[in-house]
Amino acid sequence: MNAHALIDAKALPLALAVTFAMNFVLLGVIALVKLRRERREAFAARLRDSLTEQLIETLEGERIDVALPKPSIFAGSVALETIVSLIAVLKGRARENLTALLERSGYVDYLLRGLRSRNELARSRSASLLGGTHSKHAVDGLVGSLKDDPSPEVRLVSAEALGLIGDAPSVDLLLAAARDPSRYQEVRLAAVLASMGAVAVPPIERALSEDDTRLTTLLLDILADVGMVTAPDRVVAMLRHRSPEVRSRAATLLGTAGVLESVPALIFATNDPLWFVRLRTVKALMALGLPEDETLAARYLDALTHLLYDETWFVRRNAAAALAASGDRGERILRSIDSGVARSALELNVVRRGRGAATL
Amino acid sequence: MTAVSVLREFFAIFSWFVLAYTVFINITYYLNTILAFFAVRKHLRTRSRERLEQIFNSRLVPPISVILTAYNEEATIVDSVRGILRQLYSQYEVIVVNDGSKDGTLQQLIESFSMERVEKTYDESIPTQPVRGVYASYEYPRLIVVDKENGGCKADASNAGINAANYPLFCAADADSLLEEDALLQLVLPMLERLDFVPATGGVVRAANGSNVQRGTLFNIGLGKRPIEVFQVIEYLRAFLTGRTAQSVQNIMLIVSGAFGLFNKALVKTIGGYNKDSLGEDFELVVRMAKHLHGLKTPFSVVFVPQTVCWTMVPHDWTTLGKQRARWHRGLMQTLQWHANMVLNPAYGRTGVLGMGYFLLVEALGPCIELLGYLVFPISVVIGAINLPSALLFFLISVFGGVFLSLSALLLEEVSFHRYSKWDEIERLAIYAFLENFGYRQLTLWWRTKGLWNYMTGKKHAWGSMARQSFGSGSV
Repeated sequence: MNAHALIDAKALPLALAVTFAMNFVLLGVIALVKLRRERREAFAARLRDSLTEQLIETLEGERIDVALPKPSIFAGSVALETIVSLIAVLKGRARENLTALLERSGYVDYLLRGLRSRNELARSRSASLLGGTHSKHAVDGLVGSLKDDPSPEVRLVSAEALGLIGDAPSVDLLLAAARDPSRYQEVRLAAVLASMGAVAVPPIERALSEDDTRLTTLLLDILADVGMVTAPDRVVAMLRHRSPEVRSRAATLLGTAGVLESVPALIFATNDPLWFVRLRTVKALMALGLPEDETLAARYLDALTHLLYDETWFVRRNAAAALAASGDRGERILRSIDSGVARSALELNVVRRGRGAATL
Repeated sequence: MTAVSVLREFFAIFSWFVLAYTVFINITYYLNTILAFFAVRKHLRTRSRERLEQIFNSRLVPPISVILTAYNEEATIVDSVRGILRQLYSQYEVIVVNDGSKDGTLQQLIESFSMERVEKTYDESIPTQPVRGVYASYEYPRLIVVDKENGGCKADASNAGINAANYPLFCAADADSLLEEDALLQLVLPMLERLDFVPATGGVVRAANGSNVQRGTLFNIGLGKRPIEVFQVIEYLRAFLTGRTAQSVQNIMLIVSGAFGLFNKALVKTIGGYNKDSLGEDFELVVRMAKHLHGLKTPFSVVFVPQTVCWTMVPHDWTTLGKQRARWHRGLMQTLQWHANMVLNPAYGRTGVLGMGYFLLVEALGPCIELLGYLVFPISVVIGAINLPSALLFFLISVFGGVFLSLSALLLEEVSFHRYSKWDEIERLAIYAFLENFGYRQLTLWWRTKGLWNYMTGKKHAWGSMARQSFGSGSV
């Protein structure tokens, strides 16, 4: 009886050769990829160094006259990324000069054309780099992408780019986008708005709403990231909001923005029924520090002392930390109390002073 | 027809079945590799460092509880906690669950982090062994230690950590895991960016053997000196970088590594937490989550981020490795049995047909069938059921197909993250990708088949019985 045969003996060497060849080709590709990457990295490093050297010499001058490679080639891409990274760390005249250089050399136009690419990744990269150029010429193109691009990712990157350029009229547009149901957009847009700083604060405050708790907590977080409020009374009133999320965030904002006149309201808020609101309130009081007014300072210390007996360890711990940060009066209170957090707070104060002395 | 000819016919048919199966498995892996290439490329082009930092600075990122389970980990626990406390994430807490360690794990934590006993501030919504005490530190307010009686399994310790977690997301990590500093940020992003519900995310786990680790921080990445360590580097690249990335693209991810994964706490609590009787609790939890969400008709994706989030010390001796692989396979078989009604069931959509189907046909049965192939083909040739070239074809596809897959994973690593930067490391990895298929691979098939056998015969396994290697001892 004949044995079953899928292939005969003559075909076997061919199969062997094919499998060997496949593996050797793959090995070759790995080596080539590594070699190519190393060469490109070395070339890019050389180009970055020489370009940075040339640019730094003329940064503060009237105008930078450095010839840049075409934006469409690899060297152009390295030059663009180098200049964008310099723009990110520079300010004033130097930044404006670099932006102008990119505009003159056709890079901004090249990236604006990239916003119309059929490839989503190319559009996203163009939008991101346009933000990095800080060019006002890019605003219209980016606003168009934010409104009309079919890809949510490109719309988001365009929003981020507008935030980087710091175009004030874009704030309302970004706030409208932040109402999108995707939380990712919220987080990213919130980060963009926070990075815009003071220019974003008034429009955000106008958008604070009593009824929309979700939006209000988002906006309070953004303001806390900026660390600024121009209408503190409204935020102080939010310490009595029905939503604990809003109350706790309002407390945090008052602390980070340094609203000293909110201390009495924060002292009152230390009686909040929810521990995480009390916790944020204590942290805010600690950020504001011991008031100069004697009566208020006594109330401040009393409230913190009371919280050393709070039912939640985290609140007790932060109350002790706030007392420890209040100088001699706070430390005296801690010494008079027999509790673990009080002892730890005092010990840590001693350690910190020791470190400070060693540093001095 | 004589008995001999019937036997011959049987062996011939079985041989063709094994050959067809091997071709099927290889094609599945090749397709996965192609999918992974595109997914990794897209991931790299859309994730910028600047954007991650911008999001990291936002107060709006959801807070995360990192749960570290520890049983007799006094040698590594302090460095592990220090490593995790350095995470680049604005809002997180670290909950260490001391699962009734018999060594000085708890004492090490209390002394090193100045911890004091505090009151319990949580409900035990998932039943666990009794909690003996909760400790917090004034100096390290992010850190909480839960000391409990030993539950005999990691699941019980993880459940105690979930009970104690204050935040809506929790991250399950092993005490001997070393995290990348942006690990939490990387894993949380899919939960924020996807429009459908993401109940869990995982990332690439790599072997830390041979790397320079000091006080919980990875300084230089390297390869272990022992062949067993390098073989596992390649295995991990293949399993995580290509395998799980491809599963995530197809939305059939059902394993989030126990070494490091991020989960939605409310959902995990709803389904009762980790199952204490499970041998592969991480796999079983995700399958149960998927089953629950299908029941609710909620669209969801378990997402894998092709970014390294965690480094772990892999076994450096053959006995420990064998036990580990047998245990993994038993866990796989148990979960498949427990949720047998999901396997290849269209009512569970892709999860049932492609996901559970893959785990049954490729992961569970694959090792046994391939191992049988190594026995059946020589016998078939000897008794004249098939000709020698056909048998050699099986070995060619099986062995050199395996080499091709390992080299593909290496290529993907080189075009994407290239964490092994030196030429001699790449050369070693390429050589071991070849050698792996001559002995090591067959050994892993044997261990996994043994795991299947142990499961079928009901042999028990105890938590914490694996020999562990500390980062210090593995450092170069």
